[in-house]
Amino acid sequence: MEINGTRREVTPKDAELENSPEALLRRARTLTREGNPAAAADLARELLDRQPDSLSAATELIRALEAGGASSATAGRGEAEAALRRLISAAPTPANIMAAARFWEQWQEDEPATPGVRTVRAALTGHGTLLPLGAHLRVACAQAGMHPFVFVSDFDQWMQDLLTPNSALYASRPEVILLQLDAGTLFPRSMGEAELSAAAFDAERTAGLAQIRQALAAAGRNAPAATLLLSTFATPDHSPLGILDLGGLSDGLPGQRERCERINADLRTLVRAEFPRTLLLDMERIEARHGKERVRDARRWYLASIPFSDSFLPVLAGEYLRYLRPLKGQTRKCVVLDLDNTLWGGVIGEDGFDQIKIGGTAAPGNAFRDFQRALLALQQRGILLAVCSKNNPEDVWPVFDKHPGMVLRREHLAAWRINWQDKATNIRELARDLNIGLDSLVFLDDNPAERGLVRQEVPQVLTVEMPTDPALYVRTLLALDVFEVLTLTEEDRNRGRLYREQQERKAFEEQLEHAAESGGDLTDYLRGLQMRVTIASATDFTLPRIAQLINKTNQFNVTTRRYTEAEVRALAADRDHWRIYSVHVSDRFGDSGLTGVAMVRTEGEVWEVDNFLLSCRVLGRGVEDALMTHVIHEAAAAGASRLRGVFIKTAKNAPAADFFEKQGFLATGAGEGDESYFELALAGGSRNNGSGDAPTDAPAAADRQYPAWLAVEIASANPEENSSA
Amino acid sequence: MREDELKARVRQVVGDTLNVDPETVDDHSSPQTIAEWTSFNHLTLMAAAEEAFGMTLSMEEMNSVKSVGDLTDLVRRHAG
Repeated sequence: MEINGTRREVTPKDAELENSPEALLRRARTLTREGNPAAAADLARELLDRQPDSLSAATELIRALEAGGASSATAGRGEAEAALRRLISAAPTPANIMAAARFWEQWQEDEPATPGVRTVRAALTGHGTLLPLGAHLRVACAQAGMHPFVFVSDFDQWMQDLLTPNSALYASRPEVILLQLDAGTLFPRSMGEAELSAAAFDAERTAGLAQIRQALAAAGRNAPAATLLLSTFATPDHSPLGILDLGGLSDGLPGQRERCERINADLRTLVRAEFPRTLLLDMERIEARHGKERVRDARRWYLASIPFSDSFLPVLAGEYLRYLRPLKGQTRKCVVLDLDNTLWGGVIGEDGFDQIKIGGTAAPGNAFRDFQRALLALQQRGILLAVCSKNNPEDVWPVFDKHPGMVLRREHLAAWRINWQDKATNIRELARDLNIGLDSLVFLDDNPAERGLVRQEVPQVLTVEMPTDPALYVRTLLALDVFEVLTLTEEDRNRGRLYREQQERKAFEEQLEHAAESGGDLTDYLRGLQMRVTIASATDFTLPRIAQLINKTNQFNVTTRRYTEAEVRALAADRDHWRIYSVHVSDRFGDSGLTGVAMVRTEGEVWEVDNFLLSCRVLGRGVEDALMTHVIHEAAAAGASRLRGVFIKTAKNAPAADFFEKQGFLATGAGEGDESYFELALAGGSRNNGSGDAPTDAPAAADRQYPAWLAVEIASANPEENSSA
Repeated sequence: MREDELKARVRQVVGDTLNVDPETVDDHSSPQTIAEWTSFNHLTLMAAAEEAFGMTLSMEEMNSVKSVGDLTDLVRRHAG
C-alpha cells in the first residue's frame, strides 16, 4: 500500500507477532508501569478471553487492577477474585493453585468482594511443612464460593500452637482447626520396625495418644467456639515385615497394619469419650482412593518435609471442604431426578413397564438399581428427592408402586412434576412447593439438552454433568461433596416424611380455601391443624439442631448471622448476656420437629434480637408470633424496658422483611448498607410511646397473648434442668 | 526451542511463580535479589518449572538451583 509516497507493509506475520500473547502481556506490563492500568487491564482481559487458562494473563490483570486502586470496597477486587476463580476452573494445575493462593492470602483480612460470599476462618496445624496444603485449602474454599482466611502453623509447631493460649493460631480466631498428623513421625517404631515387642508398642502408642489428647483438650479450652477436625492415620503403603505383616509373626505380635489399626481405634475411642465435638477425617480411605504410592513425593519430603505430593494436595483440601461446607451452611438439600435413562434404562412411555431396565442381575438394570440405592442413602441422610420428568403420570406411578426392580418408591419422594412442561419451570415450581431456594437443588438428568436449558434458565441449581455410561452414575453421585451433614438429627432422618405431611397439609389448606370462598376464614384452617408448639431454652440435646437451622435457614431469617455449633454452645452457656430459644412444632398431620430459633442478647434494660429464624415449612401459621411473644414475656419478666430488632436484607430473606413491624415494633432507622432497626417498648419501660402512629399493643407488650389456635407449652427456662438427662 | 525463547519462558515462569515482573528477571536473579524466593517458594518454583517444561527433576537438581541461570541450564539440559 502506498500513501503519499511512504511505503508501509503489514505482513500477516507481523500482525500475529504483535497480537501474540507474549506481546500483549509486555504491552500490558508497560502500560501498568507507565501509569495507565485501565488500558493494561483491557489488554489482559482480551488475553484472558482468548486464554482463560493463562496464569500470566490473570496475574497481569490483577496487577493492573491493583495498580488502578482495586480494594475490597471496589469493583476491581471483585473482578480480580472472579479472574482467579475462572483461572482455577480452567486449569487447576499446581503452579496456578499456588499462585492463586498467594493472592487469596494477601486478601484474607479483607471483606469478600464477591456478593453473597462469606469468609471461612480455618487454622491448619500438624506435622511437617503444611504451607502447600494451606495454599490448596485457600483455593478449594475460594472455588467453593467462600472467602478463605487460613492460618498455617510453622514447621512442626502444632503442640506449641495448640498449647499456648495466646498463640498466633488462636489469634487468627479460627472457626475450624485442622490437625494433620503424620503416623511415621508420631509413631516411628510402630510404623517402621519389623518386630516390635508388645511393651514397646504399648509405650509408643500410649505416649502418642496422650500427646494428641493434651492437644485436643488445649484446643477445647483455648478456642471453645472452634470446631476441631482431626485426621486419622493411614497405613503406610509398605510394611517393614513384608508378607509376614498379617499374622506371620510366630509369637502373635501385631504387624504394622494391626498396629496402625489399633492406634486409630484408640483414637476413635478417645474422641468419642472425651471430645465428642471433634470430627474425624478418614485418611485411610482418602489415601487408598488416591493410591498410596501417589500420596507422597519423596523429593519434597526430604527437601522440605512437605508430607504430600502435588497430586494429593487438592484431594486432601477437597476432603477438608466436605467439612467446611456444612459448617458454613453451603450444602444442597434436594436432588431433582429425571426418570427415563436416569433412574431406569429405557423410556417408560415407549418401552413400557416390562421392558425398562431396572434391578435384576444383568446390566444395565443392576447399575440403575445401585444408583437408586445411593440416592436412597442420601434420602436417609435427610436429602430430599424430587422427580422432574417429561412423562404421563399414569405411565410412571405403576413403576414406583409395583415394579419389583425399583429401590425408590413413591414414599421416598418429597415432590414431583411429571408433565410435559419445560424443566426450568418445573424446577422453579418444585423449589416453591418444598419451600427451599433454587441454590439448594441438584439436578440429575441424562439428557444434555435438558441440562443445558436448566443451566441457562436456573443457574443457581447445581446441574451435574452426568456421564453417558450408567455404570458411572454412582461414582458421579458420590463424588458430589455438597450433601454432607456434620450431625444427623432426628429432623434429618424424618425429613422425607415431614415433606409428605406438608403435601397433605396443603391439600387440607386447599379444601379450606374452597370453603373460604363460600364464607369460611383462615383461622378455621389453623384451628383445624390442631397445632402444638413447645418453646424451650437451648439444651445440649437441641443444640446440634439449633446450629443446623442457624446455618441453613435463608428465607425467614432476620439477620442471617451464622454461628457454628460450638459458638452457639458457648453463647448458650453465657446466661448473663444471651438467651437462645427454640420452638418445636407438631400438628394433626405429624411432627415437624424443632423448626425455629430466637437468639437474644441481653444488655440490662435493652434486649436485642440477634437472630430470629423459622423453617419455611411452618411459616405463616402463628409459630413466629408465638416465639416472639415468648421472647417479649421473658424480656419483660427480666425487667427489660426495650426490645430491639435488626433486619439485615439478603438476596433471600424477603419473607422476613416486614416481620418486626408485624410484631408491633417501630422502625427506628436504617443502618449502613442493608440493615434496618426496630424497637418495641415493653410494659413498665421508660420509652415515650406518645407518638400518634405507635402500634396500639406496644405498651402492653408483656401482656401479649399467644395466637388462639396454638396449644403452647413452655419448657423450663433453665438449660441445666433440661440437659441433665 | 530457540535460546531467547527459552530464556523468556523461564523468566515468565519465575515471574508468575514468585509474583515479580518477568522483565526484571535475568540470569543473575536469585533468592538474594527476589524477596519472594523463599526456601518454600523454591519448591513451588521447581514444581512450576517441571510442569511448564515437562521434565522431572531429582532432589539433587532441585537443590543445585541457586539462580535463574542455573534453572535455565537445567531446562536446557532436560530439553537436549
